[in-house]
Amino acid sequence: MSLLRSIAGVIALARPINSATTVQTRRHFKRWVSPTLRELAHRVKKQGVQKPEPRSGFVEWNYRSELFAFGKRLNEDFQLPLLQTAFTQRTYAHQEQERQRKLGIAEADLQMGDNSQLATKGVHIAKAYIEAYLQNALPKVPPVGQQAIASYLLSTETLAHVCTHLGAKELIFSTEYPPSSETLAQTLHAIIGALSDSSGVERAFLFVRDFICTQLNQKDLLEIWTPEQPLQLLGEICTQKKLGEPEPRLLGDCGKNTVLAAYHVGIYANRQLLGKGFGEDLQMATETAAIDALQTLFEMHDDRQPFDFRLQLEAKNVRLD
Amino acid sequence: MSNSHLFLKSGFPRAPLQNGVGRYVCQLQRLTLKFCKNNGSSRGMRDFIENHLVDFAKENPGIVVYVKPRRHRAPVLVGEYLNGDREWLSVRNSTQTEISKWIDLLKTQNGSSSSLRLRKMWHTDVPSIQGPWTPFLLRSPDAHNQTYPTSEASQPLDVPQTATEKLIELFKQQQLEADTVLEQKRAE
Amino acid sequence: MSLLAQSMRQVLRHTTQRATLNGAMRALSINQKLQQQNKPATIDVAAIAKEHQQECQTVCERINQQVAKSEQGRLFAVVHLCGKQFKVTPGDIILVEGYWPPTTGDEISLDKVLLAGARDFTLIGRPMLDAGLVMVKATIIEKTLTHTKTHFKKKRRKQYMRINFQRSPNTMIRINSIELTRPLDGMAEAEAEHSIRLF
Repeated sequence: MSLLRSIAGVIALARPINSATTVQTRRHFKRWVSPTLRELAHRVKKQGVQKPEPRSGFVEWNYRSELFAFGKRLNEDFQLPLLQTAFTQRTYAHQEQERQRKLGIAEADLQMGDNSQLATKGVHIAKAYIEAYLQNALPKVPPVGQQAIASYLLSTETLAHVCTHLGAKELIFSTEYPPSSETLAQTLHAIIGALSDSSGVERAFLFVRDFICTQLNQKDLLEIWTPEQPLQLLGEICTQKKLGEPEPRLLGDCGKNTVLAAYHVGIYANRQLLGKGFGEDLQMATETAAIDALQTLFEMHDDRQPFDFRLQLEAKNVRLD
Repeated sequence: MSNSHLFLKSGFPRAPLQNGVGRYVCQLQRLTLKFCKNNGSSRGMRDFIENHLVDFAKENPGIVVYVKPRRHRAPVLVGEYLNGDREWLSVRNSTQTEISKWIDLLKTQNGSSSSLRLRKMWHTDVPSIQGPWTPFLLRSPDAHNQTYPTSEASQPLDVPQTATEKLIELFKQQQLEADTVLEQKRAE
Repeated sequence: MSLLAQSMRQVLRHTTQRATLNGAMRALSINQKLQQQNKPATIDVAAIAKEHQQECQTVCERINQQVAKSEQGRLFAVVHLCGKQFKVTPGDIILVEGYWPPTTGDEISLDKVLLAGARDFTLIGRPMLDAGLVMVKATIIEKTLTHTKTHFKKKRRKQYMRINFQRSPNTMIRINSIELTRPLDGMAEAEAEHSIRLF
């Protein structure tokens, strides 16, 4: 009997002790957590910087719907096979053909289009439209300046930036990931080519206007193109327009012979003020004044008429080669 | 009001790819709905998928919608944006109306907004159209011909009368008055 | 001095009564001496008003000529939107805080224009420019929520602590274009002080 009682006592004692220990275990992190995490972090660090994983490797990925959504997002109607060709790089196509040949697939089934043809077409369209647009928007800028602005818009960096922000990065079939900026630029050209093939060249022109020309919005044109030797150029322009010989005049100065000297120079031609500029010495001030005068003559100032991005250029004005 | 938001990344209003200047492009490119088929916390999500998802996909053909069932996990919305951002939202125990509101938010955003504190409500690259002010603006042409230092320009604009000067003036006035009184007397 | 004369003329154009003239002078803080100088003089109010109107007319004509040749350059405007004023020029981005119904992709025109200007001229509304004179077009590009703001309250030694989290809506707007829709009419502009506007 006493044995029974003692057993019951032990059980009664054991119960609160048990519950206390369970609470105790929840109060702290297990002792293995910190070293394990440290070891994992160490291994990640040892591996070095990893390349980002392509989105197409995920389980939730459907290339066909992505292609369909790409066109719909931009409010364009693409023919999906054409669009897929536009996203296929030549190197990738070759690699894929080699792989299939090794697997023993018949030569007839190995046809895989790539985007080089579409890209050349797109280059023509984009170049022609941008030149026509700049001709329309900046009529007084000399051809050199227009060329510089056009080449800025058609530069690889600008086109790659546009292409990534259209969501094309994940859709490109390329041997490398993430695709290089050259690949992205070529793909954008190919997309323009594919668009002109699927829904007409006018839509392609609007595409170029809405996504490439808009990069000029509120852009300082002097950043893109600054005339070298502005005084000389100003002299030439003045003789062309019969404005008279340009002549720099000091309008004001302050802090002469100090480190904070400022000169204010105006450029006059035939007693008419063409432009004004500041500088820390006279030569610098004259040059800024000449650039200012050129900006006024070419209508390149910040306060000029802003670019009209709703403009409908007629197709006949765009010179396609 | 706590100041924890001061440590958040801050920025200025920008739109990706000059959106809205040409045509408007919806910036959400992919939407993934993850849910459990029999867990209670996913009930609202299941209702949403049954009743509204097809309509949503039809209305927004530019957004690719993926539905991913997984066992015994809380429901999640993941939006992927054209600028590469990824927004993850837990919708545990949410009703279908709440979920459709969250999806609407994901659709109208330009990227993940929760991690950025805006410092300005305005952005322009052309801040001044009539030109900034400079000390040379509208300056009198006379100022150009002067040689400095000049004694005229070195004078303070307003020199107050000193007490001595005032006393002298008062004294002179008194004398003048006395003289006139004297003259009057003489005349009489 | 020319500014003073102009404001005098403006005052004279409104009224011929000297009492109000005196009041206006006081408002302009012209000192008593000047007022006394003017008192005995007889001023031909009609002539001055006519001169002022002519001046107004010529200025408006010059603006119209510039706009007709589209040499006015970039325009800017001060618009009133949701209780705030924004100085905008084409291509700008502005943000509206708080609930606002328009959704993304909507194209709107901002009608409450307080001021419009270009390189060479400024049109100032009193307080607003005529409806339809300046067309400001805009597109809604984003509707989102702000970052999470924490509202934390605590009273010491009183066992009182409250914490709230809040995110308010934000709308991003792109200004597309600002245009002068019709030529300015000097006479109408001078007289259109009592235009009926409900907002």
